[in-house]
Amino acid sequence: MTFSLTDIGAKSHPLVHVALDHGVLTIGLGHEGADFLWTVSMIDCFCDIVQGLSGNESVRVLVIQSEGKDFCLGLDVQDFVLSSNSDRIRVYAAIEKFQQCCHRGLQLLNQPVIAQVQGNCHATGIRLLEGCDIVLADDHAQFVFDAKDCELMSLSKSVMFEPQLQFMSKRAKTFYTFTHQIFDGREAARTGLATLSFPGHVLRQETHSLATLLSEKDRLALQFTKETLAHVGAMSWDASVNFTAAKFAELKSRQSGLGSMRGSAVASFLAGQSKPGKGV
Amino acid sequence: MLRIEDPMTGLRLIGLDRAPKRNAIGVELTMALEKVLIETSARDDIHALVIHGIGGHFCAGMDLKDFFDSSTRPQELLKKARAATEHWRCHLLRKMPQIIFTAVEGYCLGGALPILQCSDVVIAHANTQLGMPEINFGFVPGGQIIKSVGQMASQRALSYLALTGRLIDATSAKQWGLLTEVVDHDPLQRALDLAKQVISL
Repeated sequence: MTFSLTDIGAKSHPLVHVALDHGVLTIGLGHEGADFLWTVSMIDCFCDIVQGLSGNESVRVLVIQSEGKDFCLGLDVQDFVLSSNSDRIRVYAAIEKFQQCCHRGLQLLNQPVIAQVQGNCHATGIRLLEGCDIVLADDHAQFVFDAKDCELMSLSKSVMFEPQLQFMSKRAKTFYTFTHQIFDGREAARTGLATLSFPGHVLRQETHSLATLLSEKDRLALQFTKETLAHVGAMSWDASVNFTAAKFAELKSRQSGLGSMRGSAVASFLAGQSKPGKGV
Repeated sequence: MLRIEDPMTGLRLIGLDRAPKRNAIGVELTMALEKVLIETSARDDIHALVIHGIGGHFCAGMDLKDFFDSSTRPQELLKKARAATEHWRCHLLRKMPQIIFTAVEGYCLGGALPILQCSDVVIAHANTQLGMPEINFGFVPGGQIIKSVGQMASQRALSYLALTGRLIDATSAKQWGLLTEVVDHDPLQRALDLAKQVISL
């Protein structure tokens, strides 16, 4: 199936490869020729794609991977310095956008997001993994919070680069961010940064099989499950009961083709049929 | 629906007894569970509880046919049953004064997981399969179940279970923090031995 970036308001980029296959959208970031370094324009392009995907029903699952042996070797220093010299604000904006994309953009996306990690994965790549729902890593992938990458990501003053690593155990997070020690895919899975790790030769097949499985599930149920995952942890038990009741009702309504209850309530209000302020 | 046994002073066994439905929690079972937990929580002479399933499975989760859309039950009864469920799994089980040991085998799915989270010790047979299969039916796992699993396992494990609907084996579940111990013999016997050991202290 052909997939056009212009359909979702994004521009193409030589280092960002996009392909849609049976509802699975694969974004390949970086490649050998660019040493798996991420540039300002590449980050910009990636964020635009993520932003444009939310309402896109042809995309059921998003897979993020690289086009070669490494996942991410960090930010391209030369590109960042050159870009900063010519347009510092644009660089700040790109980093800020990337931080938001990882923090909220991916997490609040309707579709589930899978990351496939092999080879090296430096701090910028780790930041991206934070926003993904499921991370499958090669047993021998190498993760590191390298100082250079962390410094570059701190160019944006409003959001300093401090990985939140909400998925990782506190002990592991503190140890690896302070020591910059390299850890492998198995350790990433053990400490919660990755979901599972596999031998390199089966990683691609495992990712494909999981993405296919997810693409066959009910789109709305997946979306509502993601929303439940994102919100109930911080709620009281009683609030989680209320949240679930509201989600079940909305899901039932939309699955039976009645559309969004909120949408119909707003339409009714706009049509002058209901006046919430008067309780009718 | 429930088999209650008090084999010795200080110890009570609560067996989920709905084997033809793999001990799925239906209307009667949930109301019986609420009742026995209320009664047990007021008993000063009971120091340990052992919760288990009868018939080869721990619990296949909530009985969707009994509880939801296709239920033929009167609405009033369903309302009471839902309230009872939220009472025992969100509040009652979390403040039981007794030490809770849970023995699991076979299926341990969806609505059964909050019981694990409220247990102090969970012993599982190696044949145990755990998961949140709701998504496979176009459904969403309840917020209470997600919240419970999130308090035992990592966010990664939680997302995987909820989004994929895949079941995991006992070894993976132990690695992900859902279980205390995996045994290849009777988990109930092991749970009983531990409970007796604790109440003898």
